[in-house]
Amino acid sequence: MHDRLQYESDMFTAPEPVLTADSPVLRTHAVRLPARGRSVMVCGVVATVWAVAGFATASTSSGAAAIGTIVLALACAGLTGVGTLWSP
Amino acid sequence: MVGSIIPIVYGERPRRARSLLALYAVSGIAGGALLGVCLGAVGSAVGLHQAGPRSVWLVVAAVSLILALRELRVSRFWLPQSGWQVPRSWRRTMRPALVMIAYGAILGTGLPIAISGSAYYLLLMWPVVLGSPLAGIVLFGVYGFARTTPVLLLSRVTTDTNGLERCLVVVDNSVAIVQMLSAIVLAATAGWIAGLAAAGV
Repeated sequence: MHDRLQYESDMFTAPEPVLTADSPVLRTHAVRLPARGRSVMVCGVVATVWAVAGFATASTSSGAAAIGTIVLALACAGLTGVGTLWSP
Repeated sequence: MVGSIIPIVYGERPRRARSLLALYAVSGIAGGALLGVCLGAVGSAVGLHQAGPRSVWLVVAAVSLILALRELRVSRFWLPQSGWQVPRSWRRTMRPALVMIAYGAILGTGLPIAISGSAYYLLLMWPVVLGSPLAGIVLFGVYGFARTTPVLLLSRVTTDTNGLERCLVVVDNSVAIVQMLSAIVLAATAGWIAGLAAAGV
């Protein structure tokens, strides 16, 4: 209880933090995003591999194509949710 | 987010802390599902899934690839979002249970606040393009639940604000990793959908 009271007390004096993905605190990490050229290459390779996989899957089974789409959409939803740790 | 919500349960009895966190998680899922069903209903009314599916999917693939590059900071451009934050003052003026419900419901939708991940915009597109309220409920329910998981996990490994601050250093470093994973999923989605469209599905 004391800890919470201390925290509540700090809240009155501390300025309201505004943390977004571009906040300086997020750009001083040990883990950084790859360089621009490498990022483009990774995106291109991943998109190409999945395009071939998608075409091959859809050509053989529409059910498997639908399942793949659902899995990707769910992965997008999950990662987007988890990735909002610092959102205000 | 985690630094604002978890301290609410510090000092509470374990059972009450669990109840408050459960309220937060349930309202997060409910808030997300509510937005999802609305988006799905809009999509169903607009009928994008019926009009020229191949062209619609190609647009989704292109948007997904552009968002992947934005997520990796290759391209920087503004996308519509609110600068509003859930007020911290609610913790002083409202009862803890009500605060958890309000925080969970608002953060679970992710819409009225700043949007930190580019993948969120693709997530907004899915129920509309599919024209399915059910798909909206599932996708945004998963989003709402995933959004609550960092709070639930960190509340289990910390018991005070000092412990939480130590954990936040680790959390801080995980942001870039999640961004990279999101970009890979966005790029994979772009490729997959383009492949399906090319195959005529």
